[in-house]
Amino acid sequence: MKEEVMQDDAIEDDAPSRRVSIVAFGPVSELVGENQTLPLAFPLSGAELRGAVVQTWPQLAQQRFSIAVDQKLVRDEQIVANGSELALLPPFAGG
Amino acid sequence: MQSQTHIGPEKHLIQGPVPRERLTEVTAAFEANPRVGAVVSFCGVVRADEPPDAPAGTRVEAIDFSAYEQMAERAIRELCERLAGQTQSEAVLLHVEHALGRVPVGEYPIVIVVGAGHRAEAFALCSGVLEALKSEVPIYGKELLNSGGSAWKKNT
Repeated sequence: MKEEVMQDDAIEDDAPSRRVSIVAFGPVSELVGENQTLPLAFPLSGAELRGAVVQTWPQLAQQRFSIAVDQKLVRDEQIVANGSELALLPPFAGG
Repeated sequence: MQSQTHIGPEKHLIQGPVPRERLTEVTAAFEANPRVGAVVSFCGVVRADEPPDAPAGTRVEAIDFSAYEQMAERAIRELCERLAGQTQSEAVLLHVEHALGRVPVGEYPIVIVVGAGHRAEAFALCSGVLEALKSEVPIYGKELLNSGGSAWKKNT
């Protein structure tokens, strides 16, 4: 497991990891809990973000969910330069 | 004649069921626009579904809705703007409201009202907005059962 490093402010390329807020919805929220954070070292791809989430919460391995960083959906192949909030979004069920 | 577009209300997500009177209020407002020749509306209603894998007599009493609110508000606005922009009409008036929190059986979790120049655009836009909302907006519902249990709603 990657060693966790606490970091406060300025983010540089290849910076050490910093804690990002995790918000989860629907059935995933019951598996992750509230007020969670995850240490992440940006830039990261959507696939890498998913891997970090599932590594931390293995109970999510069989769950379907999309990932949004700062309220923007991220595809697996997309590279995310930075972010402060990661949302775990199961299939939508409104309407 | 330049096309007129209106998308409302300012906040699409409200606490509790969408009030029944919203339908008549918005319809009346849209009808008053002289460019509107057709008003089409959709009201979702919470059903007393009986889960197939639960004991006989088990049924849904209410749905508790939650959302990734800021993202959901923006997603509703963007899909309304996109679909309104694709509609050829003298006027495109859209009203979309979705409930958060507990909505009992028989009440409205969602109301969509569309005013447009002609019926074809109005029907198409109402249906299009509903289908887009179901696939693009991070809203979730937990079905609350009369047994005390619950189950996460899946869209069809």
